[in-house]
Amino acid sequence: MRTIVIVEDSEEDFAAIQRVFRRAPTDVQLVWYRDGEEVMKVLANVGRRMSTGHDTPGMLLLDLNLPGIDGREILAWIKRDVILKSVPVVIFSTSSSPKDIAFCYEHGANGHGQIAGFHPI
Amino acid sequence: MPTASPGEPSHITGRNVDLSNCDKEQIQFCGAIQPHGLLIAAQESDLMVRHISANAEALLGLSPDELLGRPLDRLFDADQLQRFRQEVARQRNLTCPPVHIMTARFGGRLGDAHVFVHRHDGLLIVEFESQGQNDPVSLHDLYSEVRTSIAELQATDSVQAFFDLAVSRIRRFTGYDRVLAYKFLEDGSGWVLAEDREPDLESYVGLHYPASDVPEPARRLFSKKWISHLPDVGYESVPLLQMKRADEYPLDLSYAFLRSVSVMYTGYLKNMGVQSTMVLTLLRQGKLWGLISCMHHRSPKHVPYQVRMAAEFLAHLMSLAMTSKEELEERDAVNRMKSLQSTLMEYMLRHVNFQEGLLRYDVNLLSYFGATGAVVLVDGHVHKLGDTPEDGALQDLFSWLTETMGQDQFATDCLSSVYPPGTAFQGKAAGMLVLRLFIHKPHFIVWFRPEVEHTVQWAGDPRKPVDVSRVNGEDRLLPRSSFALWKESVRGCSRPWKDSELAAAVDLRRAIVDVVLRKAEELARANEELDAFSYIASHDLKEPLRGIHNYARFVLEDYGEKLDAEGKAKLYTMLSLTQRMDTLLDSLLYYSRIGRQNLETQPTDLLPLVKRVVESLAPRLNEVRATVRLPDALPVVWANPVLLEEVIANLITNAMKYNDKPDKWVEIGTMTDAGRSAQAAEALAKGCAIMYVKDNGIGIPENRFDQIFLIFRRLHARDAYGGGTGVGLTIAKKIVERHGGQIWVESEPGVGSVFYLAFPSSDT
Repeated sequence: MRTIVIVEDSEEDFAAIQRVFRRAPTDVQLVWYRDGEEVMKVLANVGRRMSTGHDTPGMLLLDLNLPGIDGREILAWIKRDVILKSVPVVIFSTSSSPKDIAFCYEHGANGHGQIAGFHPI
Repeated sequence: MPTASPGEPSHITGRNVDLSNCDKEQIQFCGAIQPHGLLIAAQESDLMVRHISANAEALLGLSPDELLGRPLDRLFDADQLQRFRQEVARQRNLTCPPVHIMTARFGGRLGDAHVFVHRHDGLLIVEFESQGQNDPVSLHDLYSEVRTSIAELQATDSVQAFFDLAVSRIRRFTGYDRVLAYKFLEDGSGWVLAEDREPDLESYVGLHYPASDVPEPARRLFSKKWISHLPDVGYESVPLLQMKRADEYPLDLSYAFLRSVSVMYTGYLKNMGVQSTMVLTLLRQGKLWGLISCMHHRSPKHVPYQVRMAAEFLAHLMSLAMTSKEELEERDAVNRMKSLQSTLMEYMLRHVNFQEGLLRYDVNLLSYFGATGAVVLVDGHVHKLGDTPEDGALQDLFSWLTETMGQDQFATDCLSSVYPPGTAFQGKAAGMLVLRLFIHKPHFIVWFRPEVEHTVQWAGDPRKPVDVSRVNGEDRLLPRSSFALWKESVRGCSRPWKDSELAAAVDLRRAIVDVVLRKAEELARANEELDAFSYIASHDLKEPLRGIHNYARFVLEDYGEKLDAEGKAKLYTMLSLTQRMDTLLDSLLYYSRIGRQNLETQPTDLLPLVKRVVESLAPRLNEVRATVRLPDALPVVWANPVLLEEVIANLITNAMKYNDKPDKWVEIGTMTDAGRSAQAAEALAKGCAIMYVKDNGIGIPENRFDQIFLIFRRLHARDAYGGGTGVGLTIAKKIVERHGGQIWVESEPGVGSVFYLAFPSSDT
């Protein structure tokens, strides 16, 4: 079972993401981190120590606007790392700013999704 | 030697002087003295008498011929002569004023006499004055009188108080009927600032005299000596006799205290009923500042030498004390203006509009310069303080200023002489000081000063008719007629503006410009902050909003079956409300992004651009059956085509949305003639091209013109006219303004609206 690491400071947004994955046909394990510092600490050990629980994640879902270390920094950091850079990173944010989207792709993001959240009823 | 023209003699002396030429009279060459003394001019080398006054016979019992051409020893005895020589030799510098060198007894009526000497042109001018019958004056008494006077004068707290006291002290110790202090103004005219007099005499305080009353030669002579004494105004002058030699020339009597005075002067004094005078000179930094004039009406009056000496000494000290007092007052005035400026600066910063700070408080523009009226013109609005010309007159004045005034500052003490319509209001606004704040904008600050006549405080009886008597076909000079003459000469003029006042005005202008710039910077910074704020706020606001939306959705999905229809309907309303809020936040975000993003512009032909917009809107236009009328050509402007398309789409959409006519139309065209529109005129003048979007829609009331451009401000119910966030025109305005352009509206409710777009033309 592949893990998907989610970095998201909003509990409600995480709940919404969880619902989406629960309906998904594939079985995935979601690992949730609320801030950049925490996730970077964990990811720093991936592939470097032969311990379980630190497997390379299948995908990273990254919120751009985080308290403290924000998504842009985390993205840049991951894409600089020899091991981590192969992990697909999908950015999701409330921002539809062309500047933000351009930033993400320039720094190696594999996808960008805007959290609209406002589905037509 | 100047050549004489037929109408004008080369020398104006007592023989041919009148009112028209008294300013050129050469009083120093009058060749005559007053009869109360004797004057001899002798060569210093051998003391040979060259000139002698004709009263030698009467005073000394010696005929002038006996003395002329002979040494002075005919006059002095051996002892006196030796003393005289010694004293003269001791006095290295005997130029002016005459020095008292001895008192001696002479033969004839002269008797005990003071002897005064001064050197002039290689001659010793020797003046003799009888000691007279007066009681000997105690020097000690005089000294203590002068000493207490000076101490008290120095303790006064203003120039006015100083002179009020000075005139009464001088009157007390000289015994004159009237003593007045007279001050010269920049234009040579003068006025009586203080007076002490016998109670039965008419007061002259506040009287002004034209410059011709104390003509230039008299002023020059006054400035050369501290004291001039005329014991008997009705004197018979005594001619000076000189040796009959070819090379003899008239004696220069500039410094002789016995010199005969101008007949114009004695005539004037006689007209006033004055029988004796003594004048003390007041100098400030060597320049004639004013006079202390003592007058005796009852009889001739001879002031003893010791008293004159004390008075002269007092005049010296008064000049010094007065100068320092006046300088102090001037410095105070400058400091007052400075502190006034910092107060006004503080007030100006308190208000959004600087002019409110200049007008709203007790300390305001009128606190400056003793102005009686002030006007501020900013953005076409006139704000008045105090006594000013009427609105209509002010409008004309401002148009004239806008056209003619180039510099930062303009001041006149006689407005009507440069601006003839000013005659109509010269009573309240004869003098004007104007600051132009910006050269390219008609923003003015103006101070008005009333006509001088309105400001003169005269102690005399204003009902008394002016006395212009003519005797033998000549104007008889009297103070009242002088006053009338002076009033005529300053008709339409105000008190002049002092250099320190003009400098203070320049400082104030600089302060105002500072305030305006500072406010503009603050506004720009506030706008930037607002943009940043709205960007962050809309992001942060979106997150909880999304949560609310999602959770309402979760409830519907997970518990839908457990809810009845009403419960579900409420949740759906909640969802639609969150959606609307999301749309609003998006608009806010977009709005702030326009403010922050870089604007790339290019020459853009508006016609194809408008056509593209119309094409994209075609389905909706067809739906509401609206037609768009396009011109053959539109201007080419500097713009960002993408943003501009959005503006035009917004305007066309509004035009068809807010339209209740069966045949809806939108017309697009170019405005080339400003007509009566000030905004259009300004835009065209700046080199903008103006495009308009006109419709036959519902129109907008005039008092809502500004409101329609405000963010989230809607004029109609949320769902009326197809709804909307109320941000379209705000964004349109922001886009236009970011291009350096302008957008405005003209409209008539029920008829339609016209939106004007001014963009920098690419031709310029």
